Amino acid sequence: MNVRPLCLLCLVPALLLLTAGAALTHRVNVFAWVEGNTVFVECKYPDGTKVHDGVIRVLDSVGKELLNGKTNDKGEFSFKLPKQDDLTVVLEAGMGHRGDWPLSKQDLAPAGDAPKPEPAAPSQPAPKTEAPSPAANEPAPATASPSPPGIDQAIEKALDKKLAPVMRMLAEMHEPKVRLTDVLGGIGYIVGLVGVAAYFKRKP
Amino acid sequence: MHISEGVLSGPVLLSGAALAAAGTAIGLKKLDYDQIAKAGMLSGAFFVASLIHVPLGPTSVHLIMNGLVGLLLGWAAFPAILVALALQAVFFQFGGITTLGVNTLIMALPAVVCYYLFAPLLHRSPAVALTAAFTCGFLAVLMAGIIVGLALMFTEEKFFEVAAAVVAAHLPVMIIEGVVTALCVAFLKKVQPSMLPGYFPKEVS
Repeated sequence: MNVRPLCLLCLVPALLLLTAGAALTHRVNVFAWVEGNTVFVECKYPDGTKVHDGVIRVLDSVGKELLNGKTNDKGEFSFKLPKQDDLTVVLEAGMGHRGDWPLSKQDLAPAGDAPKPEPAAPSQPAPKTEAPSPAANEPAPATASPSPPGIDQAIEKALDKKLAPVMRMLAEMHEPKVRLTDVLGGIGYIVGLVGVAAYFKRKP
Repeated sequence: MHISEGVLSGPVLLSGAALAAAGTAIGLKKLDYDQIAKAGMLSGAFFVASLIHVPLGPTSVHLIMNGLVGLLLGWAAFPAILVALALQAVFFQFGGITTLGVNTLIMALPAVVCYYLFAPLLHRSPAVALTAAFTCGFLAVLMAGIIVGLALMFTEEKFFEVAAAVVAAHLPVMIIEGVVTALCVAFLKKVQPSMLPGYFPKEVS
């Protein structure tokens, strides 16, 4: 068999590789973060294109749909926290594209319960939220409670604001990207499998 | 056109996996020694082709190459595409492991159909062969879109809407695929006609 055309054919994937860096596909990335009582959602395709008109569904821990909506032209969506629970933000971009982002209770808790809902909370926290510690360590809740609620709230707010870009950066790092090593690894696998197939189909 | 995990219902996943397994078995059985290298190359090309994508409207589409793979491999397109999709799922999180069967079916079934439709035309006059190759690339994507619509129909979305959306979104890709397939066939006809199906009489089955 003439070798030259084969080399040329091998060039095709090689050429395709050159464009691979920027060109990623067909998965959607969802990123959600909490600021105060509002959850912001950002949806992108892996190449950075925004998902507009993607359907967002917010599910609670048992999978019940709490609310839904559509992303705007910038791929963003926001909603008021419906309740304190482990939430999952699901994006359906149609044609079988789907992505989700879990929001755990802990993410939501500080923003949610600091502002209003529990005026009775300061007297209660020892038995409820710090169950393991109270016997060993009484003073801890005592030092936590005296700070006026306004300060807590202000700190929460400031932290949310300051941390938002960091959270976003973390989420971007967290997004799985297509790497050259992965591509080469995949091609390596295929070459190996060709070897295996050739071994089993060889003529005796 | 990869369907992500968690979209399809169980029965659809299972039947997709069963059909894909059957196709792969047939493909492996028909894959003879001389074809292995070709299958590997095309599997690699398919694996990488999906990294080239075109941002388009609300979504983004990418090259698929299932027409070319089918045209050159026939039934062996099933194992070739299965391997490439499995690697894409593992390395790039495109599609997913549970949807592997359905995704394989989406890509490979049109490939095989195209093989039967167009392979016999490749050794006719250049005009006929090129037209056949273009139509092959075009139709393979079109059929894949229709199968996506069918798969999603059994879950929640409406068949016609989805199929129409997928097909519309892939219209440019269909044209590009057609052109790429035609170029590849023209190139192979000149340089390495033995790679085209029907060159060895025993390959036509």
